[in-house]
Amino acid sequence: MTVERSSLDRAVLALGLLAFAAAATTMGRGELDPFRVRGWGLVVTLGLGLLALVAGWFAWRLLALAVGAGFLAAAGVQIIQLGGEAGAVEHGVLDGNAATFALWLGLGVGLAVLGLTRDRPPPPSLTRA
Amino acid sequence: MSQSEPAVAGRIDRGVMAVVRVAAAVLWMGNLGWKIPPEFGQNAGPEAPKDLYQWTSYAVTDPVLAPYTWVVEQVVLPNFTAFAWTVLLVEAGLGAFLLIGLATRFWAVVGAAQSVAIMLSVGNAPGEWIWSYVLMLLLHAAIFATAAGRYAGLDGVLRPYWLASGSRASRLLEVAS
Repeated sequence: MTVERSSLDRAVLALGLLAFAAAATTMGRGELDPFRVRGWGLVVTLGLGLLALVAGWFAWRLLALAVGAGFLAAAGVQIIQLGGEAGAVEHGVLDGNAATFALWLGLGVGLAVLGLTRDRPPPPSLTRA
Repeated sequence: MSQSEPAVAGRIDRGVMAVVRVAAAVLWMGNLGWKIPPEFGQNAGPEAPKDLYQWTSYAVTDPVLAPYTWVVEQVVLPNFTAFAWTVLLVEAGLGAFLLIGLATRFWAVVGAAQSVAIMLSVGNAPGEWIWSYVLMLLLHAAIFATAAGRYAGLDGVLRPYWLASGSRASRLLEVAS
């Protein structure tokens, strides 16, 4: 099946790969573990990252938007739970910290923006920025 | 330079600036984990690891610039919780948006300003090297000057759509990217 992918769909694919790359840092420690993706947070990152790859591959923009919303929801849960306890590095059900919140915020905003952008051919003189 | 032309011409140069942008994002994100809400170290004992409260207090105990010290002592520390949450959210935004390369020029300006604020707080603190913060400022200046979100970033993907749209939001995003 031939799928016509625009630059938007390739960007969705790239963000899906970014999610997997971020999840891979769970094997690192210290400075090589900047995002603290752990436990259920790792499941969320990999699961939504996989869905982003599917959305980008098949050019399903609505799915990209839904995945973006999923990452934003995870970010919301993370930041709310961070504020709920004192003296702990990792909080709540998603086992992350403020860096995990930032990662999901970036992935969520990026996928949502791509999902919301309507395909239209750009003017010929503006095809490469 | 027209708005459609890259600020950096060569493919390798563009790749390098994309890596620089992502590295800046990881720098901010990697320094979020030790900022622990909701207290951020306000009531921590002397044995506890340093958090944002201790680092901010260096502006008073080891001042860099007297007016900045006054602001920290009179405004920031008495309202520390609100200040700390603002710092957390701003730095999370820096990490998030520089990572994906969206509205990169705007966030580069924010990053430069935040680097200056950090420098004025801890520049003279024990064990600190003020050039670290000068280099952070220059890092964000380079990201701004090269519009680094346009290479392997969402600014590069979305700018043609913003330029074609002509809406107010699109014009703002063009400027921010």
